[in-house]
Amino acid sequence: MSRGRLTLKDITVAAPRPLPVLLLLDVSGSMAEDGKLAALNTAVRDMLHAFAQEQAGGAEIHVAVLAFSGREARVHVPLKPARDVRFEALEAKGHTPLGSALALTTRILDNRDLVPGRAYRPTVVLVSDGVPTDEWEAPLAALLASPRASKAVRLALAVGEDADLEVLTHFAGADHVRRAAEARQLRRFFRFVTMSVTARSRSATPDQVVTLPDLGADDGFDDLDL
Amino acid sequence: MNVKDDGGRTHELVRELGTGGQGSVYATQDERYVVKVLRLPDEAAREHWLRRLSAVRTLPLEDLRIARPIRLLQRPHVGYVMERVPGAQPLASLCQVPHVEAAPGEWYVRTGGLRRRLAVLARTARLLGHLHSRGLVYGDPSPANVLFSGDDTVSLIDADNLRYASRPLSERVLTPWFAAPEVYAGRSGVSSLTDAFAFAAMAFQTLTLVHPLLGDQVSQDDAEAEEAALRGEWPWIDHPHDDRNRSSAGLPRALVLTPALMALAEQTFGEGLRDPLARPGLSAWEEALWAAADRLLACPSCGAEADHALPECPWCGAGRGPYVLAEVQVTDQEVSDLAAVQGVPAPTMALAVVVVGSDGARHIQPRHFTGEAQGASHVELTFTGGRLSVRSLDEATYTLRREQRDKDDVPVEQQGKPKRFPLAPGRSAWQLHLGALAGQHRLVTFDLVGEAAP
Repeated sequence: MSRGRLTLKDITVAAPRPLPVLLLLDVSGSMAEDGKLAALNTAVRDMLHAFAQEQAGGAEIHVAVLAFSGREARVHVPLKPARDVRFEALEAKGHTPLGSALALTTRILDNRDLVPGRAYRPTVVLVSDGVPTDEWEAPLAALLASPRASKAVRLALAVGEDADLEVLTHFAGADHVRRAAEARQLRRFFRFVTMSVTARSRSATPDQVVTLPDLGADDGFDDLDL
Repeated sequence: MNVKDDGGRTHELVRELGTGGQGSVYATQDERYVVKVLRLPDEAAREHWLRRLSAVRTLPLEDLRIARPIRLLQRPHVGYVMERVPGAQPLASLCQVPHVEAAPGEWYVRTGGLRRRLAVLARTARLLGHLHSRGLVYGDPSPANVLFSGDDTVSLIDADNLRYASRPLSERVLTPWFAAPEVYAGRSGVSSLTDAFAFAAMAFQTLTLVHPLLGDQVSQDDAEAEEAALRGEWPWIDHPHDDRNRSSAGLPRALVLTPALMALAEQTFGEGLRDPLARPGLSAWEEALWAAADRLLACPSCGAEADHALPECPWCGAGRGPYVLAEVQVTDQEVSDLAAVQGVPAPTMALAVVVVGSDGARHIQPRHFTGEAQGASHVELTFTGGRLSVRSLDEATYTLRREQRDKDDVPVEQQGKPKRFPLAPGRSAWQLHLGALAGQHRLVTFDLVGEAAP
């Protein structure tokens, strides 16, 4: 101990590394059907609640919610620590501008003011129930070519029968895409993502391989939502 | 929601207690049990875990505080039933500062300060050491799977990875900040030496609030630098000669680590970083942690605890107040008599020192005599109003003897009233003898340090 008295206020600890999670949520008009949007809002709220509980450790979960509908994607919740997020339910209307959402994602992940170099590998979760209504190939290629955005863990959920699985597979790779035919499966997908992100935040491993469970099979935990 | 175990018993899951990488733990209607439900991607993983869990259930753990699987779940679920540890908290709650906490130092004191941290860590070391002495390896010690209760009793949960040391695991089971570098880098499976590294990392982080491998440079760099440091490619933060990974974070080491603890850290994270055989084992940690706890003195002003040898309270700057050093020694009456005849001081062999402040009772325990932490306390010492009280806590009768004055012998018996005597600065004439007075036995001497209370 150096001379000069230490006071309790002088002690610092290393700042936690941000662990960014970007939710790209399709809120086109078709999401309003069959209770899909209600299920999505509930699942996101539960996820944010769980993230906000994780308030210690080497990683701090930061969340952004990007909603895409109408003509282009917009930032519904800007990237910030999960504990600071106030989530307002999304409303559905209009088209499915996926390309715009992908371009916005790349811009955010490449912005060092938003995602500092010391951040852990981000997780990007894409949820869509339809076919893109804008040009998406070039924005996706740009995302995959970006040194930072391409490193993100990418997961995708196709909601309903009309979702374009091929686009989602381009985005996430076949192993990281699941289809949800009903609200129950959507909830399970989000619960899985929540679990894998919180586990990462506790263990502070940036590169943990995520193995998505099969949402369709009865693997013993679908009824565990209490 | 109900699940059924392989004994046919139904468990009603009422609340999620925690979620980890492999599954979730639930409270059940019956508060004696909790249920862990694993979430596994496919049938192969399921088969693998079932084999693993069956193996863990056959391990000899009955007398150890390890929440092992007592029943496996029936299909379609994969998981197990284990005993619950009521009211227990994870060690993480002592070593991971909440992100919202503006003053980590105050949080440290508020969450139990040094004494609780040392006691919980010492008991953890003991538990892991017991496993190792039976040829077992825990596999993944981390602050999430060490639980402590209100009385600082420690238990381990998540016994999934327990195994015989003779059967090393090829797969990686790890919690990165607390995995040994060779495990983190994928060069090795788990062993008692990787357990020892994990424990040392937990102990260092818990006591200092800084990770031993993550200094300022590594923390500011990108996540790859952190991975490299965890693979052992950087020097540790307190390396005696290499400054590259110094840390400005956490508590000053001299404040929270005794020289013995610092030496164990240096062995583990210095040479032991790359050479597992150089790492000290759990019993060395246990001994040094208890010895550090015995040296603590509570500040009369702010109540926080620190090593008595510090000149003032490091937390608030107040003076230390008087305290008594109770030193357990080995004595031999014949040798002492001979020394007295020759007019030379009797040779002594100190076994342990226990600091007795005016903040509460201290116990002389079996570990002060033999190093063995097991067993009931022998004697209780209390220091109030400039007087020391001595009380027997066990079957034995001890003897308070006043030297140089006709050998006043006062028996200290269980059930008897505590014996009390005044202390003047320096060595007291009263000594507590444990065991037959003739021949070789243990005795406790008392030194008052600081001014006596009026």
